[in-house]
Amino acid sequence: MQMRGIDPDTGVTRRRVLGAMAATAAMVAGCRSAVRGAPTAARRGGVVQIGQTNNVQLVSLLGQNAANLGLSRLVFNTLTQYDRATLQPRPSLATSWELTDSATTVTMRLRDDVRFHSGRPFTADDVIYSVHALLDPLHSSQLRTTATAIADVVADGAHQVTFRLRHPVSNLFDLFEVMFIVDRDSGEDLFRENHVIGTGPFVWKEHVVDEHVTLVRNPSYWRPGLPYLDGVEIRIIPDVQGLLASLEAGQSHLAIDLAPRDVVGLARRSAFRVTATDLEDAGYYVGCNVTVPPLDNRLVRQAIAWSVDRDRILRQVFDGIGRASSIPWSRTSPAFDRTLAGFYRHDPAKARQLVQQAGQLGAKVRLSVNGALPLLAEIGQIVQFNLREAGFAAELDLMPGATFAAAFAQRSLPGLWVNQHGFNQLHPPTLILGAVPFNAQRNVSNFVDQRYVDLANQAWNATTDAGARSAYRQVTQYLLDQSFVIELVVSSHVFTSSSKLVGYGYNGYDFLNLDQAHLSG
Amino acid sequence: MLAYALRRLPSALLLLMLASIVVFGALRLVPGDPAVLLAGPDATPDQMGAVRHQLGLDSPLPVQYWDWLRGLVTAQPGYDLVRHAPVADLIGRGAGNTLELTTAALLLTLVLGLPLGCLGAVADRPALRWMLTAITTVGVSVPSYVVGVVMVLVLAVWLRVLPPGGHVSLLDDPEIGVQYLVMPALCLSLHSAVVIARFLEQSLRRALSEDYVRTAVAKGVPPVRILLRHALPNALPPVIAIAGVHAGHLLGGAVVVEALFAWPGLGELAVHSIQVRDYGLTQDLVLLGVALFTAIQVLTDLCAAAFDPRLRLER
Repeated sequence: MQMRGIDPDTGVTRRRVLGAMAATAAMVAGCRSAVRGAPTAARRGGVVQIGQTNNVQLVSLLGQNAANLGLSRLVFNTLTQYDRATLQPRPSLATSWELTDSATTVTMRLRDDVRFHSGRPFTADDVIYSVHALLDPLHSSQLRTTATAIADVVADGAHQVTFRLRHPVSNLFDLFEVMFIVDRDSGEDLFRENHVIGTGPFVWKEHVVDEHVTLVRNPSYWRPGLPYLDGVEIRIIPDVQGLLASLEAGQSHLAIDLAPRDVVGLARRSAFRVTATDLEDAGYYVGCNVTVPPLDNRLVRQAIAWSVDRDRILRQVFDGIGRASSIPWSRTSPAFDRTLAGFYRHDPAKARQLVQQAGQLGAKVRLSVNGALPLLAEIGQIVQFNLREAGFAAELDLMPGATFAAAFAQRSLPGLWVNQHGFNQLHPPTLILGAVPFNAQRNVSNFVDQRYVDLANQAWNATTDAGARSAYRQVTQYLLDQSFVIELVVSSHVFTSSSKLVGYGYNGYDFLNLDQAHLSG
Repeated sequence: MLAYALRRLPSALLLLMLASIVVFGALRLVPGDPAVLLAGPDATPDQMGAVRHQLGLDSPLPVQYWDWLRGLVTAQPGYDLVRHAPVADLIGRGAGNTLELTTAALLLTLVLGLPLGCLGAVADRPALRWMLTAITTVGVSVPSYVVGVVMVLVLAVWLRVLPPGGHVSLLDDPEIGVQYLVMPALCLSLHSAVVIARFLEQSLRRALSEDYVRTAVAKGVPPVRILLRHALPNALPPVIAIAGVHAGHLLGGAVVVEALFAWPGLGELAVHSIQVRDYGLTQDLVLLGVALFTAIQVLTDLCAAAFDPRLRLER
């Protein structure tokens, strides 16, 4: 059996094959390209392509969820917006405000030229509806505790609203920074498809679950002339390598929240820009379940704090993006203290001495790691090595994300764990009352102490700057002493973009702001 | 043929029923709680209880099983609270996308595998044989994940001729949609194509050594005609059986390829629903997978029976 050419019987000749190939090539050449489709030259216009690994989560649009970092502020506005350097609130939907009755009444005047995407004018009733939505357990929000300080909120006319508080609250404007104003007509359909209605620069157009969200320019945006862009498309690209390839291929202009190590290569290239936000609001820590021996011993917890090599973690896991720190506060927080930030440093001898003093040399400790974030596993390995140096028999347990989340919510993690927290960039009560690892009333460590509750309330109720600073310092020293949460590194969320995308920003919670963004070249 | 098909039905239904019990029970044994995602880690026990009630997780297990089964049988699988979308829409869209991908991959498997197998059976030049062996060895041994990454690097990042990932429906925009489809379909099909090629090559070699082929050669029938009209039809039945098995494997392999190319199919949907312990959606998806696999097996048997009448007489 031989086949030495193309059989003339079948009618297939070499010339015909070459002709067919040429025709196919011509057809392909004439096609529009899925790669070079989007025109990006104009300053005004163009559609920004954003890539992110997480699915957009409508269920937590009122919460502070990393999955929605690229979406929420594009569709919604807040009442005020911080100057991040000074934490002084600036007008947004609220134009001015005044605090009376010993700071237990806040009266806000609202803009009268704002319309929702549905066309209906924005009024004080929408603010009332948004407060109630935030308090609904179905819309998970870590600021719910702060919101519970609001005893009553009433409309004084269409464009003025008054909040009556149960007591003075030092972090009230943290709440206004994150509380998105939603359309009261949404009713029970809030955040269901076609009910994602805000006042923001872009209008919700289409959501294909697991695929993309399409937003188009809001022509009636209350900031004159803005936004510059015609639209935004958020694509879900679950694989990190796929997301990087999408950036490199020019398919995406911006990638949300890639780990610092993943973007090291791009940071060195002029075609890309890596922005680690100045908020330093990603804290990485070792938590201790204080009901499990030997972690019920304060000396043991302090020994762990002395044992950890924070500089190595910063260098190897975060590629230097962030700071090694013993305290949770970022540099923007009024509680930040440079001396206390360096309180614990890597000192295996001192750690071992404390373990010996506690009579726990060779004690078994289980170190659980949230498997949802690969970099936590790397931190876990370093911590495990350090714990062994200090004299513990440490076992590492890499848990699937859902399993970890369930144990975390039930406060049943069986020893130590490595995880991430936020809320360290603003006023301390937001962290010690809102973030689950630190919550003075009910935290994951099962740490209960009336003194901690008192200190937290003192910080929350402070009415003067001096009083607040004093309370913050006491809380910080208390956290260092008790060490039920052992801070390791304070790092940042990272926006990785093509250099064509210019002018994007973010608010005090890292929610992306494209009001003034445009595509160059 | 109809009687043969009907004989296969009871065992297929029994398999589906058993699978539904196994998947329902197995999911409850896995640690994790979908209510955590909805209520948030700072929810009080009362708030968590309210969410569990809303999800129906506070009912006894037999009641939950019955409610789920009833929803499936009445084609009313309900509303997915985690994703804020009707379950039927989620599965329908995911199934459509996966079907688009696996159909394209199956076609590519046949388009690449059949000629490669024929060529392998008749090639006599050492260089050509060496090249075919190299292709098949690489195709069998390199996992689809690696093939996909290399494809993205070369075709999307360096040459920029195809998009690195994503999806545009062929129905909405065929011209752009096909560009999104090429890489994932090729990546998914490569392994199966090589396996089919190897099977076909062996099967053809046996057929080409039969007496009727020698007779045809002696009569002066052109070689291509002998290959295509005489040997190939006799070599195909075992290859069809293997193709059926691989059609099922394509569905399984789609999980990895969909993640790599951000293709929003059933694989991606299943992975995420398992991650968040979305019980209802995960159960529906696994059962759908079992049903599809069973259907493919039945279809494969019917195809084989069509080629070989002896199979239809077997009890």
